[in-house]
Amino acid sequence: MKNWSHDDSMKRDELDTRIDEALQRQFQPPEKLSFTPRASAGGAGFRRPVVWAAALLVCTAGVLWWPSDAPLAPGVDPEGLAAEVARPERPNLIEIYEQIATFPDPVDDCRSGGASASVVRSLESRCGSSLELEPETARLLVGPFSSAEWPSGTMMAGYPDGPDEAPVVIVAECSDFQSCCIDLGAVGARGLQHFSTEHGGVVLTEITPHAEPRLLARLTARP
Amino acid sequence: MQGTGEDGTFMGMASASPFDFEPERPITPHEFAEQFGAVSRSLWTLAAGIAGDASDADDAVQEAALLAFQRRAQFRRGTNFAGWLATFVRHVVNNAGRKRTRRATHAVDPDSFAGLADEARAPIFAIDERGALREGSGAFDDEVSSALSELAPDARACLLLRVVLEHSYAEIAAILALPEGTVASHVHRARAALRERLQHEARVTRIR
Repeated sequence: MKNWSHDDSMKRDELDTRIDEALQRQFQPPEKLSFTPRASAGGAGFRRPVVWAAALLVCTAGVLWWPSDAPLAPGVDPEGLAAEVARPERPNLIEIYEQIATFPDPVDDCRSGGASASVVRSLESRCGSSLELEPETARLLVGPFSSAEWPSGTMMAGYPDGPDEAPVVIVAECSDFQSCCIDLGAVGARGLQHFSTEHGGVVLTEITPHAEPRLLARLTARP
Repeated sequence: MQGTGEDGTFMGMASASPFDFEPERPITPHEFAEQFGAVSRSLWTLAAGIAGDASDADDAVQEAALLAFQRRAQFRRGTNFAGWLATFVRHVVNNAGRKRTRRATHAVDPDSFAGLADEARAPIFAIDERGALREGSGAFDDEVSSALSELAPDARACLLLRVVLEHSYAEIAAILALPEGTVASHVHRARAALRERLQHEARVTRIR
């Protein structure tokens, strides 16, 4: 009978090397990708089948705002941008609530304390604003979480009524992104409510089974 | 390879120092293109890692760049440009994945399964029956790719950024907005999972 554990240990380094080489062969990025909006039209797998009219207006306005004397990088074509508008799908707040609220047994790092530091760091990086969490409030929060439904949102589960009661979900997002891309409707169909407030470039949204927000008033952000 | 500042941002591409403008002035298209060029390989690897497939990474990065470009007024100078762009890459790849899942739920010609079944039965082994690594890269690459697809997207992305681009844990953490410890754990566990999977295949091969 062959002693596999012995072989495993002997070949571990060699196997790691082979794995690394295989990954490098298969996932070698191009030396440099240039930013060419028109060229992206060929990406059928990532094209948007529907262009949301209101969003088109918002983004087109952004293109038109572009100062005419701004230096253009090679390959950047402002006229092409208007025709290339693509929208991220709008996140489903019901799914987000259920994902976060039913998350099984968060690890210790996700419990209060770690949550506030990570969230603050994330929002400072992305939105240029800092969330302020009082220690008493931070103890009620678990997270941060991320969700494929809303990848750029920073999420926390909040337990304002104690750990055994239904949680609320707090989503923090840069206000510009929230105003153009997030649909806050339709959560009422599952008996959920949502409430939002904006502080210094950050929009905080509370998704809750309760009739009133429980944590929003205890969270503030400053630019 | 770029260095990482104390605040986790990429030095030389996210800091304000290369561009001597007023702090509140939005990033210009030229600056956007320049900074995008500096991080494009990281974004491509991130897209391939989240998707578990390199074939659509080019398109994903282009679309993410377009979305970010349209919202470039949101970007604050001195903050993490790579991490900001990475949120768009994640969104684009995840949206594409959901669409593929939806499109997959339709009728398929049963005859088309025949070839796939034969293909699935064909053995592809990374390690030979004596436990020695098999010569040739094709079969091994396929097996690594298959094992990689079973990892969680963040774990794949961390592993690829580490192995392919040799990013430090701090650099990966800045891109993915994850703690460094989490990144290190993802890389360690992903390596272990691949190793285990490939060794397991060898055992299965021998039993057969």
